[in-house]
Amino acid sequence: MQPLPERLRQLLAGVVSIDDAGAFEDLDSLRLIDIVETVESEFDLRISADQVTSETFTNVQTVADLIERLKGNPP
Amino acid sequence: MSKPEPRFFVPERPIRIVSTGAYLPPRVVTNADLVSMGATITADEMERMCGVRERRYVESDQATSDLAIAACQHALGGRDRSVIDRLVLATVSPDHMTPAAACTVQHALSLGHTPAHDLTASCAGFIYALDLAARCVATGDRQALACAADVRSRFVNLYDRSTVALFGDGATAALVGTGAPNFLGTALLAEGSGARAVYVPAGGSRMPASAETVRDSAHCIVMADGPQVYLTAVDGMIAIGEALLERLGLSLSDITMIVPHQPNRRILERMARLMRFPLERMWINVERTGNVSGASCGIALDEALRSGKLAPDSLILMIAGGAGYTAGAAVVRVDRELLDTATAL
Repeated sequence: MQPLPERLRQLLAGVVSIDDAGAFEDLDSLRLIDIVETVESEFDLRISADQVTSETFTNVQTVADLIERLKGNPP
Repeated sequence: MSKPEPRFFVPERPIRIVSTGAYLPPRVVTNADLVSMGATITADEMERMCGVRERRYVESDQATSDLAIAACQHALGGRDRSVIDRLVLATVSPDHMTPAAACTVQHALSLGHTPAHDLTASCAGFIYALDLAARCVATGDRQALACAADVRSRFVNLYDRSTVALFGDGATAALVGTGAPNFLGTALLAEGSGARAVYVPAGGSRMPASAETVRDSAHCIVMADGPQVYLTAVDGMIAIGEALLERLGLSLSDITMIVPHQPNRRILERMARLMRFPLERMWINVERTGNVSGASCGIALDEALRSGKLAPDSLILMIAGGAGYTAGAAVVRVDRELLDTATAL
């Protein structure tokens, strides 16, 4: 099974630029909202404000950690 | 935001919204206009980001009180103004730091010595003003005029991709009095931990205006953290709306129409989806008006009442949330008199 960060990298490649280290580039509110909605749709999740910090949507790994936490698999 | 614990107002004395009004300045600014003015985001991106195609901007000689006066005149029509015992104006963009813009409005409306003051509750401004007006009538005022008005265009940074397309200018007003009750109640809350999430850094006592603040556009709106603002706005507005319905013994299935603040279309679509409420029964005008801060919800209410889409006994849930964070909700049971008044004015 494909590791979650790699799956996320492929999933979000059409939404935002991602550098080699997995960091999102040129983030703005448009792309941030797209990331939230793409993740919610793909993983059948609801993301609430109290589950995220200002760092959550900055790179592939932190989004993967959020998904694992919301699915009951804390990293 | 922690679990919301709003404060409710459910009047024991019959309170009614007598009439409503709204005013949008005539100057239409399209997304393409913003691009030609220097915005660094394309018109298509603007629409995709927030669903706004155009908004209204004031002319260079107009200020917030001018919009408020027009909205109040719309709500008042030819009514007797001598029975208005209070004017409250919600705004985050007063004409001046001092005095209250409400005083300018009060004078222009020939309200004699009626007490007049501003309040600041950002995008929840109209519901805060409506709540206060209803409380004033509940404690003895004959009528109170709740107004919300904002000129956001003066505080938009053309080079900020996140906010340049969002905001517009406009005003709204509601005359509140006694009689057959149609105002069922309100819920309000503030969560000050989010005070820096959306704010205007300069121009107040923390960072007085200077050549540097003007150079750095520090008097413009800053949205510090897009996703948290987006998620908090959605969660907060849903929570306060549901809390008020529960307090009133109602549920979403009783609601004919949700009239929300108009932050952006994506927030409204997310709200409708999470609330499992049909989007077509949510009044949305953000594509034409943009986000008019505290006035948005009242402008939408006024449009809905004049739309012909509401019948007597329709229940309206108004919900708003924004900077501060602040949030508010109100429930109104539409009656024939309110509909007739709306379409006659």
